[in-house]
Amino acid sequence: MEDDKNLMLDHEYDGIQELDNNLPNWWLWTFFGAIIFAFLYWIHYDVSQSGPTLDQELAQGIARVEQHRKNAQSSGGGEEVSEEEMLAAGQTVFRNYCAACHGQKGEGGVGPNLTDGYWIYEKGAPDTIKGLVTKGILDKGMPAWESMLKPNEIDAVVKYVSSIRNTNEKGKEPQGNKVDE
Amino acid sequence: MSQKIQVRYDNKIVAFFVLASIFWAGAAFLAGVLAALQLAYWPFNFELEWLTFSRIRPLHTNAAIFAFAGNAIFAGMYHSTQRLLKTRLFSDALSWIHFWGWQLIILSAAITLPLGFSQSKEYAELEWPIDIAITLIWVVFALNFFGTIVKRKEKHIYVAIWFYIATIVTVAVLHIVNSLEIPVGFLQSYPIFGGVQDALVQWWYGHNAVAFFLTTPFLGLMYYYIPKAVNRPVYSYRLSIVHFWSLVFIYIWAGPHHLLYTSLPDWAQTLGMIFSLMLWAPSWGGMINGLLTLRGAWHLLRTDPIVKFLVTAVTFYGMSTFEGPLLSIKSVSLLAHYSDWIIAHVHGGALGWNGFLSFGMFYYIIPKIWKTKMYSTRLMNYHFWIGLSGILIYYISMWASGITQGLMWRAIDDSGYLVYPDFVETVMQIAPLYWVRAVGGILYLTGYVLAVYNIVKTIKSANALEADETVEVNATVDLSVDKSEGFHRRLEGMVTIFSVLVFLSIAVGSILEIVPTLSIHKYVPQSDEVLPYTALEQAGRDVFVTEGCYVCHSQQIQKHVSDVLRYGPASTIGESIYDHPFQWGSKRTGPDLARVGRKYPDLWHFRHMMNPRSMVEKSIMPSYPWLLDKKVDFYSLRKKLSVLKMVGVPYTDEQVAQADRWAEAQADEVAASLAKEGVEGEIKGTKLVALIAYLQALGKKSKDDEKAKAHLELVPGGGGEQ
Repeated sequence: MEDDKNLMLDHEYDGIQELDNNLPNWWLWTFFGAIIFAFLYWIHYDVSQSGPTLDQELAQGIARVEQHRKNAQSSGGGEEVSEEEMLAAGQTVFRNYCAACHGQKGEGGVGPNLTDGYWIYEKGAPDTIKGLVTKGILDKGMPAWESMLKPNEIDAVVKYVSSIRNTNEKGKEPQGNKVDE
Repeated sequence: MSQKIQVRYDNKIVAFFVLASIFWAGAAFLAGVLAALQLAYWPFNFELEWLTFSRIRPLHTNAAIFAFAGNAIFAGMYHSTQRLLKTRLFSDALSWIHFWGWQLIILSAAITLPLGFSQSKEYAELEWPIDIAITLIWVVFALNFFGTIVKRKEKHIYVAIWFYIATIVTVAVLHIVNSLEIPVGFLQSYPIFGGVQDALVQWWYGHNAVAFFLTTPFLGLMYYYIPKAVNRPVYSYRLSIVHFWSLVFIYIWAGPHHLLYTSLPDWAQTLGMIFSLMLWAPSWGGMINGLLTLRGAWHLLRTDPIVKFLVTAVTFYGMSTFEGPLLSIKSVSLLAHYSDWIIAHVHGGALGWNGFLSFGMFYYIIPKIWKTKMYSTRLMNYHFWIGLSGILIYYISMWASGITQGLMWRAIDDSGYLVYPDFVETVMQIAPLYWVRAVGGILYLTGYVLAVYNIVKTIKSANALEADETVEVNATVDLSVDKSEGFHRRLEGMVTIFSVLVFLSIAVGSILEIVPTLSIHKYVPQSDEVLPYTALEQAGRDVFVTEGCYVCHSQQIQKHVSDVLRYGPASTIGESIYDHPFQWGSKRTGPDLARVGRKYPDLWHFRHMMNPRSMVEKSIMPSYPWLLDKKVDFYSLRKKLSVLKMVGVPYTDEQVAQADRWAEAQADEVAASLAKEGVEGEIKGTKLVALIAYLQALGKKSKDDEKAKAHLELVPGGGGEQ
């Protein structure tokens, strides 16, 4: 404050005066630091290309995820799950993801009725349902659930769907062919 | 001693801009509170198209930026410039054309945006006739401002004026380039840029609207009103010089940080990030100069509400300009982008920096030009504390919301799957915070109501506005170059050269970033090329734009594992190449739609648009039932496709000439599929059918896609061959 007199410039605008204090050192170093970092970053990623591109980073990330999935699958199956537990889990998955189109009880809505014993694409056997759930019928709007659901969740929901057929809930009209047991 | 003359400062124009700003602030804040409530509780959309969130949100942002902040800038600039240059404004006629022209522009925005006339480019939504009006009024403003500089009675221009010059020059450039569009009707147009180019130009504009409409003019105001309010000298002249030029030069490059991890080329993303980091210190230079000007006057912070507002504003400026570079770091952006963290960030700037600086300035100007005192100091203090609580509640709740949802979106478990694959689950988690945010907004609005009451009382108790304030100034000013002055000091006397240097400073970054991108479409690999939208899909796209779907839904899958697991393969440049305008979005209140095509059946979309809760129980999306009542103007598609062809979409002459019949043929197909599923009534010509056709095409326009190819065959006369 004592120095203010020495630092005062002869500038005056509508009564506003200006001091000429030095730039604070910490401020200067922030500025220089950012510029140096920016330059090195640019060299690393764009000039020498020693850093990965976003596409490369993504590919590595996907590879890691796939490795995780493989590991999980090979180490899985350790603990036995009872029939009831699996059906209950399947029902939860069904309500969370399937019920929007197929109804709370599988009676159909946007998607077909799953309780009437009629099947459009497959024969209603667990092994064929699993293919539908995993890969979907993209043109008809059935998503490929393999990207969203884990393998054990898919198994559970398939088991649940198999368990509700021929319960004949009142809902959407039958579509496809009647499949006998 | 030189001779003295009398000049009369024009206070009336200042008063009008102040009152206009205060008036429109009410509209901006009310729209903001409504939007906040709509996100907390969807029935607040009232199933009225013009009150629905996706149309209210653009109204809110435009009102806050151009009506509230815009009028505040003009008020402060006209008030301070006359005093800093010791002369009356150049032309009263120009001043009033500027004032009424700007209010008419705002009024037309307030009418057209709720009606759905929008270009969908954020903060540049207004349609082409209004764009032209903005350009004209800005020219009037520039003439008036530079005219005032020419007749100044002060040789050197003060730092506030430097910032005003940067504002006027750069906003003109930004607005004109980002508004290059071709009309297809009285209130509709398509931009000449498409896809990645449009995205880059838009965010070059969008980010620099923040820089040169909400930062540089307010820094200029800060440099006038803080020293005046505390009666202390500005801390450092050399800091002014360094931070002004570095800010102006660096800011313009930072736009691509809005597009990190998108299909924008890596080099442009890198530039966006590193220039944002380098911007930290130049921004803080302004804060330092503002705050350290208070040395020796800190006690005023306890006693003077004006100082409280101004200093708090500068503090929020410091926070926002630290947060901005932080958010630009790629890995931080990955967490924050599309989330409410960004909403927190902009409101720290808008409510704290722009809002509080404006109110502090109004409280300074009003008693001065009405020659009175504020009616109540206590009410000013209440306004300050209630407003500040509002900002903090807003800021903190949206931080929490953004970080929570960002982490949930990206969480991947040990077995390699998304932990929260269901998007709506992440929405439910943050829904309570939307109520908290609304409380913050309501508090800020409450502070504003107190301000209005206080100001009305003040003006009523005053004798009259001092419309013309007479002062004595030197009759002449010697503008000749003084060789004994330093370089920059000399420059401050040479306004033309100064302005040209400002223009060059912003031109460098603009040209180096945008020009290479303009040819980028030539280099898209053939495998990435897609088919153009069919006529009906394009009609549906117009509905998507009109309704403002982009406000909540992005169409850009980021190059990141969690995005790819959730939405499918990362978006490519080729996929949006024919998108005029681009629809990459900036916020995901709902999920990304880049690959939503054929993920659900037509019936799903039909029911979902009529009532989203029927398909997704916990959805907070508004219903859009009017889409079933509104008809597509098939005939206008000929004109639309011809304009799109002009800007580079490869339609054949046949497709353009038969656009209406082409669209009707596809609409028949969609309507038939819905009728088969039990949808009743004549729906073929409705906007809903067109929108469904568009949604089903998203991500499904590959050249090898059988269905997409088949839709090209629907052109009467077999114009399907490309």
